[in-house]
Amino acid sequence: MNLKRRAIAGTMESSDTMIEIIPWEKSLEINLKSDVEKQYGNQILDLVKKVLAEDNIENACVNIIDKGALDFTISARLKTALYRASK
Amino acid sequence: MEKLRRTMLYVPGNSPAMVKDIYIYQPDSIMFDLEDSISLSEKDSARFLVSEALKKVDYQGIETVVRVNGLETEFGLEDLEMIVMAQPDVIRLPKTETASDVHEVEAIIERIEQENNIPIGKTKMMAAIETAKGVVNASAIASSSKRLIGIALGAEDYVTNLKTNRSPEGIELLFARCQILNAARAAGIAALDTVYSDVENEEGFRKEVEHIKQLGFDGKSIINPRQIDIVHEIYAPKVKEIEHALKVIAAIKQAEKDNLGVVSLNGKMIDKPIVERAERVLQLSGIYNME
Repeated sequence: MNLKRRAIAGTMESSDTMIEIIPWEKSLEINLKSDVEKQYGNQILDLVKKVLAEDNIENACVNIIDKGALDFTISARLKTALYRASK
Repeated sequence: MEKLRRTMLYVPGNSPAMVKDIYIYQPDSIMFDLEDSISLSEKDSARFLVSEALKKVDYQGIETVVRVNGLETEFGLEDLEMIVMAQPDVIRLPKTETASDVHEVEAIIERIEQENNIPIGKTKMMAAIETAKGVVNASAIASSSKRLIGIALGAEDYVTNLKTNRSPEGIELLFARCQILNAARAAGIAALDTVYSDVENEEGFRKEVEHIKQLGFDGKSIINPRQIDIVHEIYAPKVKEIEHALKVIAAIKQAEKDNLGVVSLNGKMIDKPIVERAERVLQLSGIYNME
């Protein structure tokens, strides 16, 4: 997938997550702020890395503000942000 | 046994909290909406959210339905491309006006099934009828595809199209309801009534549910979990009805055992319609095992 522009998906509501994608020159940077970071921080990061790898995203900055979203929501919001960034 | 569809609960497809928890209210069907409840700028995110939910959330066997955007919009095709692959039980078409509207969507669903090794025909369809043209063509729509499990009335657009509005008595909907119901019955599929939007008006809602049950509808699209128990309560058979139904079925079974062609109960002949009604009563009462 070719990222063309900065894009955001999701909301700051409970059970949701807001994800920003910024096309980057030559590295992958993931910043996570989560209400449940202590318990689930690593799990969320693993999920984000997996989705990014599926789309061969290696150069991007991914900013995540999580409000207690389940995996399916994080995955959906990330895919939406990538879709928007690639359009 | 035919599936119960007394309550089809709408869920806006872009609300993670509602999408993840909705099954706890135990409607007969869950309908994820990608159409009217989703703003134009969030169509894509609702599509991704519903798709991921269908793949990962356990809806505990409750029928899953997705209302997609129409093919005449820029979102319809993309909805189908993503949602069919997530394999909901049913795709609900909005604003269906002709049999060819159904055929057009069916051809796309079939192509996606073929491309993704999904058994052909697995994805069922439902058609919402929301215009005078759709009501006039209800019979052709209802019999247009083997995938169709039901047709539904969408009243808000329909009354606007008729140049009227909704009244508490619903007289303006009577023709459409009867037309859709008869079309569904003739085709052997389900008939679903429209939503009742005034969630605070429980009395008005009860009256409408009693009305559509008496007409013969399988159930109703609903917009709030609070409406589920009311519909299920109104559709629940009374004790006397259940007792009579059990006697009818027992008499039929006994007659079959005794090789009798004519069956009677308390001096009254039992014929096929009486047996069918008894089976429906037992289904609605939750007594499924009639062996």
